[in-house]
Formats: sequence, C-alpha cells, structure tokens
Amino acid sequence: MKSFTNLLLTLLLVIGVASANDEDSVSDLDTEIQTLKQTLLDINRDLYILEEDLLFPASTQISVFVSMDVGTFFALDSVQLTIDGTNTANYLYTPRETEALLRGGVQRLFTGNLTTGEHELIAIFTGIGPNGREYRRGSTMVVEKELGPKYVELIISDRQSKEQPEFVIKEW
Amino acid sequence: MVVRRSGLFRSLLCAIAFAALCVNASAEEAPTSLRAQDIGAIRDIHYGEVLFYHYQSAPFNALVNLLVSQERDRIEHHVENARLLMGGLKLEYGLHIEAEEIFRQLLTEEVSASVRDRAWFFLGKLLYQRGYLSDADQAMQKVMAEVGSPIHAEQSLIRATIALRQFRPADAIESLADWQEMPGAWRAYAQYNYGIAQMQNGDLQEGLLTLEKVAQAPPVDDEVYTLRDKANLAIGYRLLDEQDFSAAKAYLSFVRLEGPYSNQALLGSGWADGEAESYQQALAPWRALAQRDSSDPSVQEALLAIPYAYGELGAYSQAADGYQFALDAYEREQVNLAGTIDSVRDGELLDNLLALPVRIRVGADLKQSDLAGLRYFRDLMASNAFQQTFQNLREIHQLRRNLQHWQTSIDAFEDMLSTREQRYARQLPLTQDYVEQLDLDQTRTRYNNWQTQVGQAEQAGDLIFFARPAHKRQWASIESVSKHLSEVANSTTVSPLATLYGFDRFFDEPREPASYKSGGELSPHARELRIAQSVQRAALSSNPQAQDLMPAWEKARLLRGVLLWEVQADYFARKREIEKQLAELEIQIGIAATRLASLKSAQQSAPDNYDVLDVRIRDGRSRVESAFVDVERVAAQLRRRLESLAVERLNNLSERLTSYQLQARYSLAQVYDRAAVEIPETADDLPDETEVPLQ
Repeated sequence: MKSFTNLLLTLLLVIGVASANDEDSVSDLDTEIQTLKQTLLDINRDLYILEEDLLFPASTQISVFVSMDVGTFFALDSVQLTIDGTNTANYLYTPRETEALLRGGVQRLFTGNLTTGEHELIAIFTGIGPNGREYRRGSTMVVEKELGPKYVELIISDRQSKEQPEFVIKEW
Repeated sequence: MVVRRSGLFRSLLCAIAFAALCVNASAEEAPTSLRAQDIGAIRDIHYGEVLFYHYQSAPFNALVNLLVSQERDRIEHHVENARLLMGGLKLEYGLHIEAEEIFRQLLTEEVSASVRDRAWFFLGKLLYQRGYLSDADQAMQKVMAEVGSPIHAEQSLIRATIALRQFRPADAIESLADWQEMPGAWRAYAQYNYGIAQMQNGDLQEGLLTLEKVAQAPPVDDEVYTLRDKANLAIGYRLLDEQDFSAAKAYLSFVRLEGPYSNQALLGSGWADGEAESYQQALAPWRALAQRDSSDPSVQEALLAIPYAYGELGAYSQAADGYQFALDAYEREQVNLAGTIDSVRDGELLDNLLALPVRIRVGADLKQSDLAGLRYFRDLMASNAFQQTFQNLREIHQLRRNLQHWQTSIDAFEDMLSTREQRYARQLPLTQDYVEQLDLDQTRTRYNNWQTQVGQAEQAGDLIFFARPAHKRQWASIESVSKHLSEVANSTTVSPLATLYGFDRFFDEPREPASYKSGGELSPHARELRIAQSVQRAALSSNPQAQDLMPAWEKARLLRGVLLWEVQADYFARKREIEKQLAELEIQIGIAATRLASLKSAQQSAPDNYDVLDVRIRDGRSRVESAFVDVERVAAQLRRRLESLAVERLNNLSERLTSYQLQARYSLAQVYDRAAVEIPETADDLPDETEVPLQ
C-alpha cells in the first residue's frame, strides 16, 4: 500500500513537473514571439526610412493627405489627385477607411517628387452629398514647392451655414 | 436520466453565463480612449496618419508609422499622447512586456492627469488580459473616468467581470450601478452582466427582470440581437432550473432559429416539455435539432433525447431505432474526428484554417464548408489557448509576407543605388566643368551695378533710364535726328542772342536726355532744353539757308515731346517693374548660390552618402534574412503547439462522443429490457410521426 502511495505521489509530481514545463515552454514561446514582433517593427521602421531617403528625398518630397471633419453632408467614395495636369492618385475608400477618417485619422494619399517652384494641384472628390445624391466636387490650389519636404492636406468638412460639404486644401 | 438532465441544465447555465463574460472581454476592439474627441485637434499631420491605421485596428501599420514619425521628429506636438498610443498599440499587437513598461513610465506626476488616467486604464486592461485579476482591478480602480464616457463603461465592465470571476457579485453590482449612463452598445452588455450579477448575488427575481429588459430590447443591429438571444436563453435555462417549464419554453421560443444560440434553445425547449412529461411536444424541437450539424454538442444531445422521449411514450421500437440511429451518427462523427485528427497531423487542417479570411463569420461562412476539419473550427476556437496560438501563427505568417515584400524591395534598392552611382560617375565631370565655369560672383557684381544705376537714375529723375526698350530705341532715333539737325544748324551763323542763351552749350552736350523729376515738374536740364529749343528756332529763322530745316526740326521736337509724355506716363509702372525684377533677381541669385553650395557639398558628400546607403541596404538585407530564419522557427513551433492543442481538443470531443455512445448502448439495452416486459397500451398514445428522422 505504501509503495502504491509513493508511486501515486511520484506520478502526481511528474504530472506537475510536466505541466510546469509546458507552461515554461509556452511562456518562452510567447516571449520569443514578442521579441520577433518587435524586431520586425524595428526592421520596418528602418527600411521605411531608407526607402524614403532613396525614393523621396526631402528636397523633392511632396506628400498629399486626406482628412474629414464631421461628414454630415458628404459620404466619401473616392478621391482623384492631379498634379500639373498628370493624374497621380486615384483612391477608392472602404467603409472601414472612411470610418477611420471620420474618427480623426489622416490618410496619406500620395507621396512623390516635385521640383522647386509652383505646381498646380487638383483634387476631385466623389461620394454621396446632401439628400443622398451623387456628388462630385473639385478643389484647386497652386502650391509652392521649396527645398524641404512639402505636406498638403485635402480637408473635407461641413459648412453648416449652407448645409453643404466644403473641400479645402491646406499647406503644412 | 433526470439526474443527467439537471446536470446538463446547470452546466449549460454556467456555460452561458461565462460566455457572456467572454463576450464582454472580446468586445474590447480598439481602445476607446484614444478617439478623436479625446486627442483634440491634430497638430502634426503624421500623428493623424498613425491614427488612421489605429482606427482600422491595424496595429502593425500604426506602430511602424509611429516609430518612423518618432525617429523623424514629426510629432512634436503630441509627445505624451504618442507615448500612450504606442503603449496601447503594443498591447493591441500582443507586445505585453513593452506595453506594460510604457504604461508604468507614464504613471508619474510629470505627465498630465488625463494621460496618467489612461495609462492606468491600459495597464489594468493589460493585466486583466494576462489573468492578473487582482492587480488589474487595483489599476482600474485608479482610473478617474467621467461617468458616461466609453472609457468609464469599459472600466466598469472589466471590474465587474473580475468581481464575478472572483465570486464577488455584490462588487460587480456596484461596478455596474450606473449602467444606464453608459453609451451605445456598452449599455446592453452592462445591463446583461448586471442581471447575471444580481442572480449570482441571490436576487433571482431582480436578475431575471433585468435580463428580461435585455431580452426585449429593440434589435437595432446583429450584436444587440445576439445579446437578446443570449438573455432569452439565460432566462429560459434559469427558469428550467427553477422548474417553471412553461415560462422557460416561452423565453426559449424568442431565440432566433438561425442565430448562434438556436441549438441550445431548441434543446432547452424540448427539455421544458420533457420535464413537464409532455414528450410528444418535446419531440418537435428535438427532431428539428437532430436535422442539424451532428458535430454540435446540442445536436448530439438531441440524438439521445429523441429515443428517450419515445421510450417514455412507450414506443420502444422507435426508441430502439432512435438509439441505433444515434449510435450510427456518433460512429460517423467518430470517423470524421479521426480523419480530422489525421488532417491536423499532416498539416492540412492548419493550412485550411490559415487560408480562411481574417474576419470570418464562423456560423454562416463555415456551415457549408467541405474543407477537412473546418466544421470543428468553432469547437477549436472555443479553446482560449488554441485561439491565441492560432492568432499568433496568423500574425507570424503576415510577418513572413512583410519580409518577402522587403526582400523584393531591397533588391530594387540595390539596383537603384547602383544606377545612381553610375549616373553620378557619368555626370560628375560635366557638372564639375559647369560649376567651374559658373561665376556667380560676377553675376552678383553685375546685379549690384544694376542696383546702383537704378538708384542713381531714380535720384536724378532720369525718365529714359526707366523707359521700355521700344521707347529707348525711339529716343535714340530722335537724338540721332536732332544731332544731325544740329550739325546742319551749326554750319550756319549763330546769332549773338543764341550764344547769349547758351545755344552753343546746348549743342555741345546734346546727348544728355531731357528728364522730368517724378511728380511731373520739369528738371533743370529739361527747362534748359526748352530754352535752347526756342533759341534754336530763333537762330534757324534768322538763317535763310536753314529755313528749309524748320519742318523737320518741328517734327523732331513734336516727336520728342510725345515720347517724353509716354515715358512719363509709364514711369511709375516701369519703376515698379524694374524694382520687382531686381528683387526676383536677388532671390534667384540667392537660390543659385544655395544650390551651388548644395551641389558642391553633394559633390563632396555623394560618394560617402552612397557608401552609407549601401551599408544601410546591406544591413537591411542581413536583418531581413536573419528575421526570416526566426520567423520560420517560431512558425514551426506554433504549428506544433497548435497541432497538439487541436488534437487534444478533438480527442476531448471524441471522448464526449464515446460517453454518448456508451449511454446510447446502455439505453438501447434498457429499451429492449422494458420492451420485453411492457407493451404500449394503445396506438393513439404514439406521436403523430412515428419514424425517427433520418439525416
């Protein structure tokens, strides 16, 4: 009987040790996954910066962003961007992306290179406007590209007084 | 059988109540405290870009953007919020260790109270997710959120969940006391858990009343509809436990027939009739349930319940057939399970699971699936360990795709850099020649001379200096004609009067142009010219030989006057134009100087820059290759772990089926025994449909 009890205790101990080993290995794996994820984040950060330095140096870089404020009078479907008469970006939004814009997110629509000097920028917004009708509006601006990077924001907001959407281009 | 049923009811009730808490835990989608209204206006556009990804629940993209922006110092106006966001994103991406470190760094007096509050909130949430319930509760206690805000709602729900898990229902009730103030969907979840807490606390009637309100809430969307179903199910099973069978059946009948809780509702509905010994009525929901997917535990239970009801009705033949049918179904299911276990071991199941869309709707999308093992997806995902490991493997696969993208990009970077170096080598001699020839100092000297001349002309009131080129050409012609006429006139005798008035002097200096001071007043020189012209006219009139020149002289004088008038009228516009051109010239000279300096600097630094970029590219390639090895190793470990968990889970399902098989065999033997000693009294006692439905 005593030997049976010992055997049982040994078995329980073995099971306990096995279980602890399992937990340790799971914990090790979890730590390893976290380390790997962090490594990948660092690699991505460095390679994005390298890509930017190579493809879009600060002296010629221009980035165009899209943002929305309120959005009561306009539901965004797509944006078309033209710079100096060349169509540079066409973007069709998913509901998830428009939701992110409405919550305050800013989307990078285009990054490219421009020489210093004046450039004409035309943005055409398509979507559903007041009274549920299809709506298409354009906005134009001449931007002055200098030696540093240029950031331009296309802002869609509500003009409460006219109950119409408003499209503004802002230079940062 | 009654004992088995009661056990079943209790276990189901526990499962449902626990499932509610799990739903609350999974309802924590994106951290709610960092919405636009909380962060205020965006002052750095790149911070808005990070939020764009964050609000789409894409933590990896958001983190990369945030890291790049921090490295480039692009979010100087959102430093504190960016740190908090970094912690929140790392938490969302499963980087618990680093997230905790960030949150703890933010728990100091140096950061603003609102950021510190949210740091406590995220820390509490993190600890809760990792199972440190007491620590999580303490952290959550320190969050001073405004009642009615989403962060307060989530805080209350987490605290209540912790209290319920720690068997402190009174504390859970206290945490959820202001559930009516909560916004949107939070209110429905809080109300539901409030009802569960009341029942756990012994206030059965109050709890049922609370759940009843959830059960009758207008189904504004699928989420609320599902919660309604869950409330009806919880009430129904609780009433079954209380032996209020008719009321239980009524609540269970409100559960949607195609919803995620329909199988449990049909099973419970049958038991409500069965407990009231209305076996004929009980057969209807059970038969409907028996037509469904036999991998579902409720369906498996119904397969046993149907012959049990037949047995109770004295229809032993149908009961025996029913048990046999159940045994056949269980056997088929065992074969399916064995096949699925094989497909897990050979990796096919995991490949199929990984190929599923990320946001799959388990019920609707998998029901019709013929892929091996996918019908057990819901069972597998019910295990928290499997779910987490599967999620990790999915993320590791995404990282592998990310590395593949960079591998291709790095090849392109290398080509690009090499092309640039070659072009630079070709262009360098040409550029050097150009730079050497370009004498910017000389240009600047010429500009300075121009500026001086303009200043002098302005001071002297020199109209012709500011005249347009056409006017200048015309002025030169008139000057030439005047000179010619003067030479002719000089050849004649000059009257003493002309000498007296300085006629000679005038013709000695005829090139000096007439000019007006700004404002239209005649300059001294112009006045002298006019006098001289009068004198000349007088001289010519006294010289009979020169009489013929008079019309030409008059014409020249007239043209001179007209031209002076035009130049005078254009004076201010021209002056502004010249000044503007000078200013632009100065800017252009400045830009040219900057560019020249930049070009010279680039010439010196370009070889070094190419070297630096080359080193960065090679470093990137080496890191990507090394990460690939790690990704493959971790993916293999995760696959092994998933396989082990899946096999364990499927074996559990198989064991459950084995117990059903044993029960069915035992019940079948009992039916034969009872059939041997009993005979049904009349055929009218049998149910209308005497055949067991076959699948």
